[in-house]
Amino acid sequence: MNRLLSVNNLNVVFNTFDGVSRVLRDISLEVGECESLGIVGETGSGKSVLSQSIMGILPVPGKIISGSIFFKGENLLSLSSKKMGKIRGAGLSMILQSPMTSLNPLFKVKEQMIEVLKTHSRLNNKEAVYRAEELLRIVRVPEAKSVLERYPFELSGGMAQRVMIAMAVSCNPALIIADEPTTALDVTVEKQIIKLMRDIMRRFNSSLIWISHDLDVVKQVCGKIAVMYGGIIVEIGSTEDILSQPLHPYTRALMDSQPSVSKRGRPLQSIEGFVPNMLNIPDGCIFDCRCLEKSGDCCQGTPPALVELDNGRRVACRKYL
Amino acid sequence: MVKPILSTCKLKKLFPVGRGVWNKPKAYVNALDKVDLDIMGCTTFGLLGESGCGKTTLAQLITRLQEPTSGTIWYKGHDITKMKGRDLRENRIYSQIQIVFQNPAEVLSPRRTIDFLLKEPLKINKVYEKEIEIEQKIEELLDKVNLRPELLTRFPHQLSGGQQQRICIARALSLNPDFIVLDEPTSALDVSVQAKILNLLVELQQKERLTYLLVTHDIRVAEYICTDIAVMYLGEIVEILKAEEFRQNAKHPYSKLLIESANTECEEKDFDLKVLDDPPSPINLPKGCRFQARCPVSIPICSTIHPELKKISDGTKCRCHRVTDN
Amino acid sequence: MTRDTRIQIDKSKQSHRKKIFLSNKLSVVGATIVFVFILIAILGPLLAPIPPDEINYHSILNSPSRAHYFGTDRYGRDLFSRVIYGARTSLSIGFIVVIFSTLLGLAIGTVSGYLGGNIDNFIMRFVDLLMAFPSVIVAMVLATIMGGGIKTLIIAMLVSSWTGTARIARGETLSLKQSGYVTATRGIGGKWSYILFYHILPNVLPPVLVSSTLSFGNVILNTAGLSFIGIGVQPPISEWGLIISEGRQYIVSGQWWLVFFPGLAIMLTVMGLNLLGDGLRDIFDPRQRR
Repeated sequence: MNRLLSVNNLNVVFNTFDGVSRVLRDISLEVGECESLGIVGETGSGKSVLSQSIMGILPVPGKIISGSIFFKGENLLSLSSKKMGKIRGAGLSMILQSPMTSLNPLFKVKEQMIEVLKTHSRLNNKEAVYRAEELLRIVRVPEAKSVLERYPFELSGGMAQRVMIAMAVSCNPALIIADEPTTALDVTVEKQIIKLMRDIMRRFNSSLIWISHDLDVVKQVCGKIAVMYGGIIVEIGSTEDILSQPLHPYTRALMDSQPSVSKRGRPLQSIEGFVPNMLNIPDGCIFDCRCLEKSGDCCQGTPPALVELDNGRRVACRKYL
Repeated sequence: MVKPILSTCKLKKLFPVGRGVWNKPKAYVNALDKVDLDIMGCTTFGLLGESGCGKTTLAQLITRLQEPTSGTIWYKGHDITKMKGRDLRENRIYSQIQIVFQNPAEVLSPRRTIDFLLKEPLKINKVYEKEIEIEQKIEELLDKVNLRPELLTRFPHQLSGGQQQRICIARALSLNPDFIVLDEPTSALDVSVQAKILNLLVELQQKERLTYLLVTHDIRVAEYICTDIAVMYLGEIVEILKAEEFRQNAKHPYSKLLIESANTECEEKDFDLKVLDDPPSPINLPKGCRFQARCPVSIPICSTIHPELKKISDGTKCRCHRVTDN
Repeated sequence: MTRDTRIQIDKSKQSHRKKIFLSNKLSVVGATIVFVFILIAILGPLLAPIPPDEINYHSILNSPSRAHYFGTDRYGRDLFSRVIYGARTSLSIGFIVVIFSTLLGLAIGTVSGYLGGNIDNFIMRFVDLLMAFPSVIVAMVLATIMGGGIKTLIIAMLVSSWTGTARIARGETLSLKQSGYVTATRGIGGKWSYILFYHILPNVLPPVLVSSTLSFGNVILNTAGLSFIGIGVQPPISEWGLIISEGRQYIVSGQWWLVFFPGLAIMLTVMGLNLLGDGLRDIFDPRQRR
């Protein structure tokens, strides 16, 4: 299977006033063509930093100190910003959490969509408007022609997110990165967007990376899931495998802490303690101090690396070494 | 017969929109429309709905942070609808009805220490005379929410989201209320932190004999923790039923839509395109049923006559012609 | 030692703020300049070798020398001493005006913003009215009524500058009124007077402080300007604007120092205050918080 995106041993740090924060450590993952990967993690896991690093939009105190990101055979980290600019928006596009802050409030929808189209293709104005209308219809925006003439603040959250999706697919990207695209939306709208993204992937033959804190959302869209905690990937495998048989204690604890009607009357499984401080990473396994299944040597030595098990599963836990 | 601890009767709230001549509003947003509620003591009543349904407005009216346009609110037999600042203080309503908000980072003043913030409700309401009594109460509160006293000298931004929300819960508890409104208390928190907070809330409810009004958009949370669930849509309650049977027995088409949306099993069947539309504007409400335009099972009567909230069985009510008029 | 490092890290706000401020080189420069001038003003009499109003007809219009560092003016008065004493004048006028206008603006703006409604409307229209008059005109009118001099000057500038602070305070109050913690405090039973004092005021202070520091520079410029045209400080009191005014006619004939040194003093002080104000704004910017 062709590897469309391959992240190898990526290390990212943030230089803060209080010291060096190692937010991503030795991250390795792949996404093939027409594959969808879900990245699940809570606050502090580093999932957003990962998506920003791939897109090359890591904010200033952040720095990629080692590793590589291969996209279609090219190492993105070695490209000039001009070349990266050509890829960003066209071959590799992004959908962010809040469409209201991603869309410029001063320009009409039409102008913003045309901007993307004209930057990455040779369409003239008229052709670009036509294509924009077509795209809006593909993402099921009703009355596409009139929506083009509206300003972002005149759109509802769900509508605005559809516009973002339309812009993201406008240049037929090979890979779309969606960073919590439905977190700010109502649950009925979220369902529509999830279904839309599945259709989009099929129609444009794109691969997808969907980042979320909600396992239930990711499992509806993605065939593969990577679970992140404290700056590393703790488990990665097919959605089916991970849901039916989660191996890493963190994944298990995460799934157990989800409320549901079947757990009425009993306390929910929660994870004691806090996410460790990235400024001062302890020895051994990063999840050690909160793990219910740890053994004596989990807090010592080098942290367990991702170990490959059968059928493509990988877990970072001493129990599987 | 046991009386409800809190009930509302035809509670209505309009918000003015736009300014015309002489500052008169051009139109009104129908945030809440004649809402009737009965909440029994020591239960958790859930308000389930999406953005714009009026659930937060209802929560704020009950805690008297906003004025209702019309209607009444009864608490333990007293009419508290028109009570404002001084009345509320004199009748010690603040010590009986409290509220926990959604985003603890915004609720805790960033320039104040945790110590100040915890003592504040006690000092404002002059609960104790001696400083030593206040200190003891603070220690007690921290213990109840499982936090350590070292946090007292910190500022809110130095605490995690879960810890901040615990401080908000401790503040709400400090006046020994009987009724606590929880406005999306865990929406801004991670799933594992949400679990801890939900566990804490359940524990406190049993220990302190509290009644909760829980506002949420998350069915999973409502199903887990609530006794009853009221589904709201565009300012009205469209269905009330027991939380345990919500998924199986919900009859209103909107409740079913919510359940379907929260259903995470992958299915390929297409959504009815009508359902995909955005809800109508709360300013120009349609005649007849408000859900009619998006309803997959609407009949002609739905667009002309506005359905009433009718009792179907004990503890169950529904606002739908198809359900109640058979 | 637990692993709960987030709680372990006890960075107090003060040291964090200091760090941000010190990392901004320009604000440190600004703060230093202002500090130096304040020092000069306080130590004035000790630093000035010769009394500033001592007339000496033997050394009229001398260029800068070892005896007179900045030269002398047309009455033989030592310019160096005059500039030092000018610092005392300008800075004390500045302090008085800024402190009182800040207090007034803060009080009126905050209350007006919190009460809202018609009271707010009325007060703000009054503020608009006051702002419509240029401060120079107000100063001239007052000078006509009350005669010139420092007292008139201070009152004129007070009248003109409290309005800016009031606007800022009101704007902040309006947005703070809607904030989560004000709502929460109402929820626990806080009266409006309590909320204003304990929650709104502490948050209104930072932008007001920044604005006041920046307006300090304006006050100094206005003082110099009004004294220059003869309304403000009257001779023989040393004031930078006045000194420039007196020395204006001698530029053409080559006695550049009469205008240069007081002008330099004005420039440095105002620049220092502006840099300091910018630095303060950066500290108080919530985005800098960790």
